[in-house]
Amino acid sequence: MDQESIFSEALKKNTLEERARFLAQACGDNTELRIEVEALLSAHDDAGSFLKKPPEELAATFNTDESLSKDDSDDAWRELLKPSDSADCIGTLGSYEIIELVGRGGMGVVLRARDAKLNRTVAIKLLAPELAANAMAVRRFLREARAAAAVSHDHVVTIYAIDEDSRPPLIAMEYVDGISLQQKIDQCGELDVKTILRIGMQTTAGLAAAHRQGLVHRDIKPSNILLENHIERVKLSDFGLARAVDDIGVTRTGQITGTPQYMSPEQAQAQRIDHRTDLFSLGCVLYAMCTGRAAFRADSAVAVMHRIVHEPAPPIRETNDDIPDWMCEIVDKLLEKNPDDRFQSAEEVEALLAGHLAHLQQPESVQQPERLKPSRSDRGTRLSRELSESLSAPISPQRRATNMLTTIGGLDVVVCLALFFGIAPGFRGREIPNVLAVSTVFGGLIGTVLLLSILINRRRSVNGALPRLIGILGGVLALLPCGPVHILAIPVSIWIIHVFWHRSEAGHSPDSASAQPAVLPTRSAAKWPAVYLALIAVGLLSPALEGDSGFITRNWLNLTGRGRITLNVRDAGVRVTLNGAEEAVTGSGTVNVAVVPGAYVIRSNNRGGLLTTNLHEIARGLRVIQRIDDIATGVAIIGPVSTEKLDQTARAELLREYSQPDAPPGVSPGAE
Amino acid sequence: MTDVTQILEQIEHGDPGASERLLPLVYDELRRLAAQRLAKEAPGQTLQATALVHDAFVRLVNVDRQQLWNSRGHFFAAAAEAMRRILVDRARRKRRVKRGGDLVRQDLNEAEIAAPEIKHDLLALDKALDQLAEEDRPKYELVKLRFFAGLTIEQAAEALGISTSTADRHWAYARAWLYRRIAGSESHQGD
Repeated sequence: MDQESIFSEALKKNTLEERARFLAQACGDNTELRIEVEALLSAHDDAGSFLKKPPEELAATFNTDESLSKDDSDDAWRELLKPSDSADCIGTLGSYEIIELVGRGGMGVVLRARDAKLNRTVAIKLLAPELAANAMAVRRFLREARAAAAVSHDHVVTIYAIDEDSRPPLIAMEYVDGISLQQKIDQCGELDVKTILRIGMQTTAGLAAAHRQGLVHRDIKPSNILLENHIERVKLSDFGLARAVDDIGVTRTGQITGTPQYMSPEQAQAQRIDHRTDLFSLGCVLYAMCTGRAAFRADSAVAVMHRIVHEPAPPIRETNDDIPDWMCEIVDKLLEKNPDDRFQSAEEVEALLAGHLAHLQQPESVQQPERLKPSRSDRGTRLSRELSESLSAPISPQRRATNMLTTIGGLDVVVCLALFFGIAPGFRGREIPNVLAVSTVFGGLIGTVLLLSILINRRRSVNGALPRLIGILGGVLALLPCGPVHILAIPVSIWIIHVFWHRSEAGHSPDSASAQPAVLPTRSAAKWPAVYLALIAVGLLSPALEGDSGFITRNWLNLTGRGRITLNVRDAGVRVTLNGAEEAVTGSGTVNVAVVPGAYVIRSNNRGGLLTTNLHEIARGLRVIQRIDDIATGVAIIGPVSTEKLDQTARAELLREYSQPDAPPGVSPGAE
Repeated sequence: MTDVTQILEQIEHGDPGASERLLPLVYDELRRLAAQRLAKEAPGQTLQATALVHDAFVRLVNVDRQQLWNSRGHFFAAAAEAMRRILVDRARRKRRVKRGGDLVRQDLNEAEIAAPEIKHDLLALDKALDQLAEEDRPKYELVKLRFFAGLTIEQAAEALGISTSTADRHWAYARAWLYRRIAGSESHQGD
């Protein structure tokens, strides 16, 4: 018995003696086992109420802890307040009369208060205890706050005072009566274009003001963009404060400070940051206004950051196709992974947004701003511009891939054409191996189809999936008639399509609104050359694999009037003469003959006994029956379809010639 | 239909990834409930962890949908796991504070902190549970359901798909096993 069963059985015994006896019997010589079981048994006896009572005692240590809930149960700050005389306050903090809690952020709490000295409403930001305990963090925080206080702008929350002597340090700033952009998006979902422009413009204006002061916000996100009630005037808040948190790295249980959804790639990778980081985050904010949700979403913070760094955001049009193209372009440019590809200043963006808004408000009198020049990443471009750009600018991976595809397709077509028409004449007089002929044609065909699909793709830049699909399917279809080996290409191609589709699907997370995959991300263009190469290789090589028994190979004659064929001669004693050159021998077997355009003659040595069937057999092998003459004499004239037609005279002459026994070899009627 | 109900349905239909999505939701709900309850209770009151779990179940799961019967086990497993984490986190944090750790917190209810032995018990139990989970996963699941989610033997047996008598046996063994581990390690506990 095993340990567990011995234990269970032993427990059933009523007295200790019975137990001891059972143990002795069950464990036998195995003292280790017995010791183990006895230890377990005694543990069982001693356990008492262990585990039997639910862990409620421990719950006594539950306190209101802000990590427990996001609700208003964090009262730690209340303890800091001194009692107040006023009826509407809950307490005082220094010279501020605290009225109520208005919000909770990663940094601490925000309170609405009245500045008793100046008798105005202010917002008080209290630094969270974990941060306040770290002296270095406090110093940095204060330094940043002072810098932010230097920004005076309509669209930036003004900082009135910084009290570093209080514990915890506090900041008194402009109280904005309203909701945050995040709340607005939560309430209303996607916003209309005018609102997006207005809010975006004002936000950018505030950003520009800060950038002029040399400040980088670092934490631009909808919850930091406040909208004053009624007029919805934007007030940017929390300037420069994000840095203090980063330095400490303190996190609440299970959370990363703040949301990484609006982080820029360089932030996510802890690289150097400049004002263009804010522009990326601005792009995320615009995106959120356009679609009602964040640009980069995933199940965990780490996954979000990965998407920010590596994957493009799902196109705005997927979620909201009311957003005009020019807006998507602006957002796309802001969301470029490489800061050098983005707009280089907030002023630029502000001017652009202002221009569009003005045009929208007065379409007749104000012209719409110019569309964005195509960025280097090859979206929506014309061929000529591509050419000049490719000469001057560094080549992006997508462009490289497209170039590669074009080169492969083009080379393939050129080579195959050259092979077929160029070298082919050199074969004149000799035979082109059927296989080679078929290979070149089909390789060329596939290359042409793929080239066409690339060209189509370039024009239809937005949705690249369809042209690529055409390319693949076209390539596959071109292979279809060729027989078993080529048929195999179909499932392979389907599998390839599926793999790449699936990979691009994974790039768009399950929260993508559309039911069907819309756009393969252009970065996967790098994989397509491999696919195309594979198809071309199949087109070129499979005739070789199939050999002469391939469907097309066999029918090559009919199509082109040239090639080699194999004749099966069933009957013994049939000699096949082709154009005077004797190929066959006695006995049954196969005859391999070369065929060139022109009439030819088959002659059997068994003149009297050349069975019709034999001739038919032979002719069938050629599949080019024009006429069978004079079977009785054992001579048949058969010509390929593409032959110059023999006229009656020539025909009669041929017949006459070959009807004679042992016709002289070397006579080749018909033209070559 | 709440998210949790949806996920439970997915589990019913055999969606393999659904169970993982359950835990964070349940975790959040439990924390929320706990905080809400505590905010209302007078200081010093204790809170039944298992009552929380059942509350959460009622709130999150639409019990009228009969087809969810089998997936209740999943819910309670997730809830028990969440409860365990919450409690252990709490115990750890309290211990740090007592040691004067650098996370100085405005901890107002120091007086309510229960006696140290119990806290040690929970952390030691947590460790022992990890060991049990490695050695004998089914018994671990049973202990988890009974202790953290407060299921009876019959309920736990049903949730795990074993007979009540088997559950009884497993429970006795697991208890002895765990107690032995903890009692053994207690002698090594310093502070």
